[in-house]
Parts: sequence; C-alpha cells; structure tokens
Amino acid sequence: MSLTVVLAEDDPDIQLVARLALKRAGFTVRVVSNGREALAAIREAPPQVVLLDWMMPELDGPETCRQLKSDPVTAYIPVIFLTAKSQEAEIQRGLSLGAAGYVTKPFDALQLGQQVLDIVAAATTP
Amino acid sequence: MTIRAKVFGALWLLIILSVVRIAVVLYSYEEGTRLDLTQQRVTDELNLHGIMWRALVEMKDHQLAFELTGAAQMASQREEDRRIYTGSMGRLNSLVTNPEQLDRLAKIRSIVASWTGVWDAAPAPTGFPSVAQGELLLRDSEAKFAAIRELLVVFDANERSLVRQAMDDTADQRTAFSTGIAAVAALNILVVVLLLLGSKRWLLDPLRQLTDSAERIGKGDFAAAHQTLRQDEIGVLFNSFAKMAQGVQSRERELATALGESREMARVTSESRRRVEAAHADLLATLETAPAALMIFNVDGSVRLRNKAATDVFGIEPKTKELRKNYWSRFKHVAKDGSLIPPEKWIAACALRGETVQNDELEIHHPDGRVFPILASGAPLRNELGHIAGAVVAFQDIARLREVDRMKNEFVSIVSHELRTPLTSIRGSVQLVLDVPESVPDAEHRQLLQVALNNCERLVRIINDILDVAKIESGNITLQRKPCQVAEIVRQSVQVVEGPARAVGVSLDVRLPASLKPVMVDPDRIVQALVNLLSNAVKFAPAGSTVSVSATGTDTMVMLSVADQGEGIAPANIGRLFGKFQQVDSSSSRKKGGTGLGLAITKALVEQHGGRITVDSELNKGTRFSFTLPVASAEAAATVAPVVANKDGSARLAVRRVLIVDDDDDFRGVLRKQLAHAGYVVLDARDGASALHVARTSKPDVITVDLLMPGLDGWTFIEKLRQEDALARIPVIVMTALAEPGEGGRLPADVAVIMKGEGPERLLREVGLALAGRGGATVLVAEDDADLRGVLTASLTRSGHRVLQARDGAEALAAIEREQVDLLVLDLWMPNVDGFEVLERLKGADGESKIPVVVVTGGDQSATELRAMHLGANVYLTKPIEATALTEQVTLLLGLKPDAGA
Repeated sequence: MSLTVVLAEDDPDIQLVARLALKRAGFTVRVVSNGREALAAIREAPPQVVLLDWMMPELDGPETCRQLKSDPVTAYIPVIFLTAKSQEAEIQRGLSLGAAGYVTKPFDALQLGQQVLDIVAAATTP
Repeated sequence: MTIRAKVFGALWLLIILSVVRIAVVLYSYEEGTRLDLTQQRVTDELNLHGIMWRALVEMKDHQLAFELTGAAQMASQREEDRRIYTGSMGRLNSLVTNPEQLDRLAKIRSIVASWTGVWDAAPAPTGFPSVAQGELLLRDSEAKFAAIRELLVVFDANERSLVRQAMDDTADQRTAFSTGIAAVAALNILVVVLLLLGSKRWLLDPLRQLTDSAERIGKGDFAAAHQTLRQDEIGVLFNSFAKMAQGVQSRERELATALGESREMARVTSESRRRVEAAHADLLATLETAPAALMIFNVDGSVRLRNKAATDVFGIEPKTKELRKNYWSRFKHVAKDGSLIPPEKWIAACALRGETVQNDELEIHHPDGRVFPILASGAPLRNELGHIAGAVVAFQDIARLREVDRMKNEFVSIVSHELRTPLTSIRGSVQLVLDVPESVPDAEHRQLLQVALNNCERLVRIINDILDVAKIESGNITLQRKPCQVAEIVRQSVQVVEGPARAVGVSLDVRLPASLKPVMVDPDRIVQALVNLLSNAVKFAPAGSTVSVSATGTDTMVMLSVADQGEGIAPANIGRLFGKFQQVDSSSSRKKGGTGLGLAITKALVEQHGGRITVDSELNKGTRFSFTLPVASAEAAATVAPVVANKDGSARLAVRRVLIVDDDDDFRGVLRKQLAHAGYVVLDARDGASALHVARTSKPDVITVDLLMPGLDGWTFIEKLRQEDALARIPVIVMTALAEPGEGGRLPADVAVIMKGEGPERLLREVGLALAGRGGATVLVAEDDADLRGVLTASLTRSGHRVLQARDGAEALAAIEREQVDLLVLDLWMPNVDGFEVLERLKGADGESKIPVVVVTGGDQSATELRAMHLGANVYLTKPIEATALTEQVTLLLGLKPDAGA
C-alpha cells in the first residue's frame, strides 16, 4: 500500500514532472490545479501528505494551508510547500502556518519522493 | 703714553711748578724781606749817616763853642753829640758790610778819635780866646773836620752809590723774582693751557669725535667709527667703540636680514592665507553643492558649518542654547529596527564624545512630517593637542537608494522565481527520462539528454547564486552568528569536497593549530564560503597535488587560508577575481561548472562577518586565498566545546567519524543520511568482520552496531573490539530491535542501547554524548541505595565520565574534600549526613553551590524541590531516573554540549 499525496500545482509541466517523480518514488498521486480544488480533494479523500505550490490562482498555498490546519479533520495531515521563493521571511511565514516543511523549486525529481518522506518523518516524530 | 700718564705727568708738573713757585715765592719773599731789611738798613744807614754827620757837625760846633766860650753847657752838648756820634757810628759800623766802607768808617773813626781825643786831654778852655785865637781855633776845627767831612762825603757818596747799587740790586732782584714768579706762573699757566689743550686733544676732541660717531652711527652711518693706532685709553675707547659699532652694525645687518625674512614670511603667510582662503571658499562651494549633507558641530553642540543639503533636512537651528535644545528635540531619530534613538545617542553627540560612527542607517523624522532615510557617519574633530574641538557629521539621503535597492531585490526575486519555474519542469523531465535508461537506448541520445540536465543544474546554481549575492549585498540575509570552532567549520567544508577531490586525484591537507580561538560566525555561511574556495582550489589543482587548509589566529581574529598548487592567476586578473561573473579562464572554468559568482558570494559573506578576503597568486606556482573572521568574545567562546589537540600542538580535525555496522542496507542508508546531515563523516560496514577491518584502518570515533548480523554478530563484534587495545576505547552504541539486548550481561555496561525506529534524535544525542564524553569529568554519585547507585554510575561511566561513589553525605563530603569533583549527583534522603546538609556545606557565599549538583529523589516533592533549589541545587530530577535524562543534564551542566548537529 503506497502513500497517497495530493499535489496542488498550477503549472501543467511541473504537474507532470512532479507526478511522475512521486509515482516513481512509490506514491499514489492526485493532482489538482489550485487551492480550492485541493481542499475539496483532501476533504473527499484525506491523503498521507499534501504538497502545495505556493503561488496558485483562486486559493494560494499559504491560505490553503491555513484552512487545512484550522480544520480539525485535516489538521493532522502534513503539508509541504513547493516553492521557488527564496525570501526567508516568506518561508518562515509559511512554516508558521503549520506546514511541515518545504521543497524548493527546481527540485530534484529523483529525490522528491525521499525529500517528502524525510520531511514527513521528521514532522511526525514526537 | 697713556693719558693717565700724561695727566699724571702734567699734574706732577703742575705740582712741581707749584712747589717751585711756592719756593720761589717763599724765597722771593724771604729775599724781599731781606731786601727790605737791606733797604731798611740802608735807610737806617743813611739815617745814621745823617745823624752821625749832624752829630759831628754839632759836636764840632759845640766844641768850638766850648773852646770859644768854655761854657760847660757846650761841653755837655758836645758830649751829647759825641754820644750820638758814637752811638750812630757804632750802629753804622754794624750795619755797613762793604769792606771799603768799613775802612772808611774806621778812618773816620780814627780821625774823629784823634780829633776828639784832643778834647779830652785839653784843659778846659778858660774863656774866650782872642779873635785871632778864635780864628785859629776855628780854622783848626774846620780843618780837622774837613778831613772828616771829606771822608764822610766819600763815605756818604760811596754809601749812596752802594745804596743805590743795593737799591738797584734790590730792584733787579725784585724784578728777577717777579720775573721768576711770573715765569713760573706763566709756566704754570702754560702747563695748564697745555693740559687743557692736551685734554682737548686727548679727551675732548676724541670724545666729541666719539659723540659724533655715536650720533652718526645712531643715524646709521657705520663708517663713522674708525680705529686708531693710539695705544692709550682713548685709543682703547676708540677701538672698543669701533668694535661696538661693528657689532651694532653686524647686528643691525642681522636684524635687517631677519626683518627681511620676517617680511618675506609675512608675505608668504599672507599669500598662503589667501590661497587657503581661496581653497576654503572652493571647499565651501563644493560642500554647498555636494549631495551629501555635511554638518560641523562645536563642542557645545551648536552648528559651526552646514551645507545646503544639511539645511534641507535640518533647517537652521536657533542661536541660543535653550531654543536650540527645543529645536532639536522636535526631530526624531529612528533606528533601523524602529526604535527611537535618544539624543545622547545621536551621531553628533557620539562624535562629540570621541566616538566615530560609520554608515549608520537611520531615519530622521522631521517635525513637519517628512521622513528622511539616511546613511550617516560622524567623527570627532581634534585640535593639535588631541582634545575634541568639534565633530563632523555627514549623511546622505538614501531614500532613492533604498527604493532602488528595493526595486532591485524585487526584480531579482521575481526574475529568479520566474526562471525557476520553467527550470523545474525541464530539470524534472530530463531527470525522469534519464532515470529510465531503457527509454533512451541510443547512448548519444542519452548523452544529449545528460547535457541538457547538466546545464539545467548549472542554471539552477546560477540563479541560486544570483539570489544569494543580491541578498547578501543588500544586507538581507541575517547571519545566525554563534561561537564556532574553526576546526569544526573546516571539517564540514572539507567533508563536502573530499569526494570530488579524491575523484580528481587531489589530496587535502589540513593543518590547524589547537590554539585557535573560536570565531563568532554563521557556520553555514562560512562553510559555504570555505567550500567555495576549496572547490575552486580542487578544480584548479592538478592531479596529484595537494590543496592545503591552514589557519593562524590572534586574540581578535582568525585567518583561514586555502592554497592550491595549480596554474595560478595572472596579476592582471586578480582585480577582477571577486567581480560577478568574472571567470579568469572562461573555457576551463566553465567546463568545470562554475557559475562565476562563487567568489563574489564568498567575498560578500566574509565581509558581512566583518572580515576581509585576499588572494596571493603566482603563475604556475599556485594560489592562496585567505580570509579573516572575528574571534568570539570570551563569554561566547566559553559555550563552545573545545577542540582536540594533538601532541604536536596542532588540532586534529575533531574528525567525528561514525562507523555504522548493520547488514540491512536500507537501514544503513537511513542512518548514514541522518548522521551525515548532522555533520559526521560516516563509514559503514555490513558485517562484523569488515567492520573490524574498517575500525582498524579508519579509527572511527563512535561505532553503532546492529546485534543480529550474519557471520560476526554484534555481541561478538563488541567483544573482539574490546580485545584490541587500539579499538577498546571507541564508544559503541547498539542499535537493535531486540527487547533485552543486554540480557545476561552480554553487553558491557558502558554500551548504550538504542531501539531501532526511535528516531534520529536519540541516535544523534547518544553519538554526541559519546563523543563529548571523551573529555569526561569526575562525577560523584551520592546515593544510599546501592542498586540505584550502580545504575547511575554505569550510565555516567558510559558517557565517558569518571564516577566516584558515596553511600551517604559524610562520604560524599569526604570525597569532595579529597578529589576534584566536577559534578555531584545527590540523593537527598541519606542516613548519617543527608543531602540537604551536603547542599548546605557546598553552598558558597552567593547562594550557589560551587559544584554543580543534580539532585535526585523520589516522590512528589515540590516542597523538597524548592528547598533543594533554595540550597543551591542546579537541577532536580525525580526518581525513577531515566538514565539518559541524567546524563543529558550532567553533560549540560558540565558545559559539554552534545555535538548532535552542525
């Protein structure tokens, strides 16, 4: 049984690459294009981990994260940001919303899965 | 002859003359007296002569008369006359001196005597002779008398001529005397005149001459003084005067020269002053137009000079001190962090106190609401004595700069973000394709794809570097500074390039003195900088050569150097070295994948830490990069674990090598990752035998071992390890899934046991403890319960400490007295002397125990806890004690930080 992940990313090319990378790493991936869709998908079938792009139309990454974390049903799910942003302040802000970690773009496609696992492992260790 | 001589001579002459004159006068006086006497005598003589004559005549007459008359009266009168005659004759005789005259007198006397003699003999006449007789008598008397008379006349004539002669003589003599006296007087006068003339000539004239000369010299005519050949005092005076005149002349010349010089100087000075004033005017003009605002303050805080830019911001302050204070207080100075800067900390105030402030960024809030962000500097102005005479403050409005900076950052951020997004897709796609080699059977195609991927990576690196540079240069990165051991930083950096170095056949040599002080830096960033230098060095070093890392340090800074033996850098290129996208040899470097920003980032990082970076290179010999880092303060340094020193004084790169022994590849991989991430160098072995081999050759610092392994199992491995002297002291951590690994005493007491799946923190903590405990301390365990004492001891021993045991307070105190105890683990409830009393005894004057104390006790003892803490215990642990909790506290209290991370 493989880990399920919901991937919210608006760039179709990155969608493809990330999905493939995660699939090869053994994840079952569900891809959505924005935050709103992400919330819907997560509530519908809670995954083991959520990967959120930072900048998305309709509902962006940080806001989606906030909503997830404030809903007790979804609050426990580790959220990982996918971001090209380099501003530390922004990243801190994201983390303060309750995200478990972040992966910077451009990510290493061959390592993406492991990175996700590592972050989740670190986050769930008491 | 000197004047003195002359004067004396003249004086003597005068004296002599005077004496002579006096003598002459006396003599003439005497002579005169004598002459007078003579004259008197002569006069007397004449008188006597007259008297005598008369007396004779009378006598004759009276005799005649007697003869004629025979009157006795006549006889007595005749006798009377005779008496007179005798008397006068006698007197005359005594007076006359001329022998002829005396003769004559004698004749006269004899004649008279004969004449008169007759009388005495003759009888007295009887009366009146006859006339004839009377005539006869008369003729006789007359005839006798006539002879007398003749003689007397002759005598008289002679007498008179004698007298006359005498008178003449006298007159002559008198004349002579007068003449003499006159002569002498004249001589006197002459002498005096001569003297006067002489004095005129010898004194007055020269003096006048001198006076003239003096006057002329006074008027400046120095030729007036001339020397003279005279040897006398005047001559001396003249010569001295002449010399003096010369002296005056030369001094006057000197003065004239000096005056000339001072005039010249004055001229030069006034010229210089004109130039200075001109320059000053230029300066002021420049200042006025300078974009930077400039203000010069007096010591009392008033503004001595300001330019337009300054006035634009601060206006013109009022003159009086009171009004001034109010004026300035209306401006607010806001620091970068938003806090208000009090007036005493304003840059002007600081500068007036002697502090120099450089490039302080702050905001000036004008009372009218405008805000000026400025970059300001200030410095004191000192006078020649070194005292503060004022302060200069310069600042520039950086609003635009800030804006530009912000725009730049925003731009960079946006651009990099935009670039990263498509890069993600490209990189990922190519990676995923290449990950399935079968999908690209053609090797050339694979190569092409690899090229694409490589350049993606490169692009990623460039973008990262650009962002980094932009961040660093705009000061947007916050350095997380902390005290770090240089050895540790170097170790981490070396670790990163070890592999690539080995791959190209370059060896790394690290030499660090153990005496290096810890530095106050952001370790990640300095590692980044050092890695950059190292990877450059490795890139440019020829195969077989060595890249060396060295360091030197002082009390305030540490200098790290990376040197390679590569091709070197031409002097012309050194200037460009730290520039952006400057690659010295573009072909070779680009081949090696450089971004061109590495050195720029390194420089920016070093400089942000307050250090400087320099490069030293010789073509075909090699290159050495050196950079400095600030040393941490003593207090900060105290919190860092010390380096390990070799016997020769160098620091062993506290190489923390961990050997992982486990047959499970995956688990090994996981552990490796965790440990490597924490900064350890990881060696691994999949079974006991190879593990031993690796342990022997590579001397790891810590070994983690799985118990259940094929071949040599964990327990045996540990046994064998302990049998070899060189390896026996290596701490071992058992990682197992077994529930009771130590069952049956199969494990030595000092081996830590971690359950697999516990998570990396536990492992890292144990590794850290194991390593830190190497420099173990002496811990005293005071516990009356023997079992517990044993457990605590074992746990502490395992951490590398030397443990002493005490069964009660008394023993504990005795042990403390005897040994140097670094830490006390103290049970409170003990017989004999209890823990509280021990704490009491240990309590120092400040209420803190001199030795750190970990108090252990059972039960809910909040009151006890309070009391124990009050007595100076540092930490309070409740039984049952978790051994690791204890060792952790111990380690913390001892100041040995577990090295559980980078």
